[in-house]
Amino acid sequence: MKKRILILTLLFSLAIVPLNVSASSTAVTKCSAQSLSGIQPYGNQTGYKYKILNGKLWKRLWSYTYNRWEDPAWTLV
Amino acid sequence: MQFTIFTLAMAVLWSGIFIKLISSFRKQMTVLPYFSIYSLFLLLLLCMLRILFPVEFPFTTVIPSKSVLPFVQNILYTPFIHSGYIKLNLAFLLTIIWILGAVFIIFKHIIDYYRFRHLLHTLPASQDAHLHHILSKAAPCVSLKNVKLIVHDCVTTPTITGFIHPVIILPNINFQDEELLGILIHECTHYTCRHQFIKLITEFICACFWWNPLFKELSSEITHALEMHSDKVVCSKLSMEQQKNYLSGIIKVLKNTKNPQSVPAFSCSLLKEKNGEKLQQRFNMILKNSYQAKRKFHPAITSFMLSVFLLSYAFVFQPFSEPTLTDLGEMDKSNSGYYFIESKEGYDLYDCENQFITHMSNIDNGLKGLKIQKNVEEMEEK
Repeated sequence: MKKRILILTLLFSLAIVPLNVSASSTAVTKCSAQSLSGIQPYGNQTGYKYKILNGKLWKRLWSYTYNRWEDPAWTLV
Repeated sequence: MQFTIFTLAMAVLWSGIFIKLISSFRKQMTVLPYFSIYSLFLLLLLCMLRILFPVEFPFTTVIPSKSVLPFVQNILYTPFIHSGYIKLNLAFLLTIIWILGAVFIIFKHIIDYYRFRHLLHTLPASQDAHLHHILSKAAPCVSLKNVKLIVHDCVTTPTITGFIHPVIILPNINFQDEELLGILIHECTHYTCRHQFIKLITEFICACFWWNPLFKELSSEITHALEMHSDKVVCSKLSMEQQKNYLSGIIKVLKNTKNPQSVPAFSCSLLKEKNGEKLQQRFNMILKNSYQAKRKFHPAITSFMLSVFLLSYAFVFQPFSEPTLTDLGEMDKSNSGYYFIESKEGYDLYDCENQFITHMSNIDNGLKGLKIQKNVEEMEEK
């Protein structure tokens, strides 16, 4: 009976874990400039934010999840 | 597979739901025909797995929270001490308190365990041949060389302790042979089924989440489930008449428990849970022959439990915050030649030379002042 419980649990665990699972816990960045709408399957939801300064367009990566900038500074587009 | 503070919060939330489910089903076990002791163990196992694996999988859906969670996040992470390189926020302080509390409780358990083992080491083993004879009848597969049997008033209820070298301690109560047989089968089952390892993992988890009262309930439910499992084994080995003698042995122990005993958390006792409702359930399960009368696993209840387990990994709540104007810093307020063209799924950004730069579903706060055109030709005409 214990073996049956163990096999049953293992089978369902295999169903959960896909073959190409990644164990990385670093922030997942998105290169797309799209502001996020809808639902995303990543831990850290990020997106580029833009502004115009001195007539030039600048961008910087923002983390919607952690409410902070992921890039250290603005970069010229 | 990712671990974040949000997946940990979801694991704690779902563990609370599982614990309430366990408590609810367990209380109805006597009358529920499709919920056996094995179903209870499966539910407990799923609860433990949920706590031990607080991760999100690629199929996990992130549900953004735009007001509640950002508000909580702001309270926790806004520093209240900001001096040079030192930044102290509430989250850091709570984390330190959490870790210190867990470490203190784990060390206390370890010290209690070693003190108890030291006490048992000083106590002489029982030389009563009759007692050893009953022990050999109770657990013929357990090597008597490994088991130390002590009779002493340091415990008020029969207890077994030890992971590799088990020690059975019996209180100084005058048991009849069949009462003792049932009690020793019960205690030996704790050892042969490795219940002490289950208790060890449980107490470790409960120590880690010491601040959550629901985890004390989990510990209590697991202890009770282990007691019922041992009772089940007793019932399978004894006749109905012998089972009644076993119950009278428990009553004798109950009458003897005037003072609380100091037994380590991961030892197994005959009467660890003195809760009236749980004790009554143990008696009812034996007297109504409930252990033998049920199917081990009912397909519907098993499917329900596994579905809830999988559902618990299906989504995670996370805060969703946009940068404020302060976060954006200095920027031009006047138009600088950049413009938007409205498209079906948002806006396309163009520069003053009508070159496409990027697409956005919503216009950023930093670009709110830019004009929105219908098409490039309209902009060229202007």
